Amino acid sequence: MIVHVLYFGIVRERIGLGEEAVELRAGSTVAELAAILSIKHGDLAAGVATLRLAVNLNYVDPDTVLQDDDEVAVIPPVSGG
Amino acid sequence: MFLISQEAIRLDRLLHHVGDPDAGAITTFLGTTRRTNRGRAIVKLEYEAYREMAEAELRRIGEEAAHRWRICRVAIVHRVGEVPVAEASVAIAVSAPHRAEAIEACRFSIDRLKLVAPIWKKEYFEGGEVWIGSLADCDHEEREGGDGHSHGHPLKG
Repeated sequence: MIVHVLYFGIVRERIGLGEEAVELRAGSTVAELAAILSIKHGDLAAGVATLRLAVNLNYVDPDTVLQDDDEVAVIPPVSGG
Repeated sequence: MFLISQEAIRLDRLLHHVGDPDAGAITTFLGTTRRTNRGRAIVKLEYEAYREMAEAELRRIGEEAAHRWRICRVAIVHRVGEVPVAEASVAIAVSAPHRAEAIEACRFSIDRLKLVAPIWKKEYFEGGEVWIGSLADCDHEEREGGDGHSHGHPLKG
């Protein structure tokens, strides 16, 4: 299956990429995707204390199971306001 | 009205949106770019948002405020791109039958926005730039003192 990954802020800037499609085996979790992305791009959490992930516009727990065509966002610490 | 916008914020549009014949009070909040931050001389701030999710989160904040307090209407607008010193990056307007609810719901809305809205601020100061909330920013904060930032829930560890 394919998921669409979006990067923002310090993560986007560090890896030089705003979005990409990633192929995963069916049943993969958000945590497994994050591990794959960290191998591909270097530690996703480099430079930040924590990262959150969102799937289809909602924050999710790392054990959330992904579905084909999901939109996954890598969310470094937010600083709006 | 729950918007991420490239344009300069027009408070009159928010006021128009929250106008309501049942309202006896309207509270507004504007967040503006201050010329100094923890000893750094600020040149400008640059905001980036995950627009679709940020607008969904702003809407959820408005719904949560309406659930907690007796209010009429809420409008929240956050600007993205460059926000020069003294200009507004965020505006909130809340109307309610009575002032206490309008004030409390407005304060809740900006506090909640800072915790959950997927929006990022990069600070350009004299001599450098830093993503607010990053370790580089927090290291500076520990040395200089500051008002703290939320880092959300850890993905791991």
